[in-house]
Amino acid sequence: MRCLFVFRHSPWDGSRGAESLDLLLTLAAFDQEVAVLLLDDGVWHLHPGQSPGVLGLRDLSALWRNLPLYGIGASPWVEDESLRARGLQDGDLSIPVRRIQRKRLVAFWNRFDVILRD
Amino acid sequence: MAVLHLIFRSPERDWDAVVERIAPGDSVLLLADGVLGIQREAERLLAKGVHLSVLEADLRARGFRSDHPLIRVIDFDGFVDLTVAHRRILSWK
Repeated sequence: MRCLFVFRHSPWDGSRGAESLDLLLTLAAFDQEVAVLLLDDGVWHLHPGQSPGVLGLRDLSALWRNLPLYGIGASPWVEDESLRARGLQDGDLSIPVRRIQRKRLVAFWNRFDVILRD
Repeated sequence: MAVLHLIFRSPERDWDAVVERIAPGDSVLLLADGVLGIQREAERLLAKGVHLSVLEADLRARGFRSDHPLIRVIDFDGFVDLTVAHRRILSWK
């Protein structure tokens, strides 16, 4: 079963980001084929230099860097328009990504059997 | 099989990005403040070739009704049926 996990919220939105990543890694641990897409404020997950500990939040950046260790070898997808709207470029991000244009998403959804979201 | 898009957000809040991510043939349910889109955005969605539904309770709570022949007004049971019928669901809050 091909799963897509969509992150649309910033990683500083309470425990949402941590719980979503836990779910993502659990899926991967059970050998499900999981792809990741970052949309809207979800792209902030890959903003380098975060110190979420200042807010008492878990630092998720190591998890993102180590996705291949958890069986998610392919780089996350990131929507071009979401990056640009936030003044980011893919070179600014903490890990390599695959870019996708918004207009391509309408066909992109069909590659997956199930879509999960944060 | 088509994607079900649940639109919770008011049309004041960047519906363009949402609508651009919806494919012809997808299903769209307006709920919460998303039902406010029924006034000015419904035609744009229908022109895209989506199956458009709206949650009756949220519509009535806001003083709206719809007798548009192409918009299904559904109750909570209908909401459940829609979610059961789609394996791929996206929420736009």
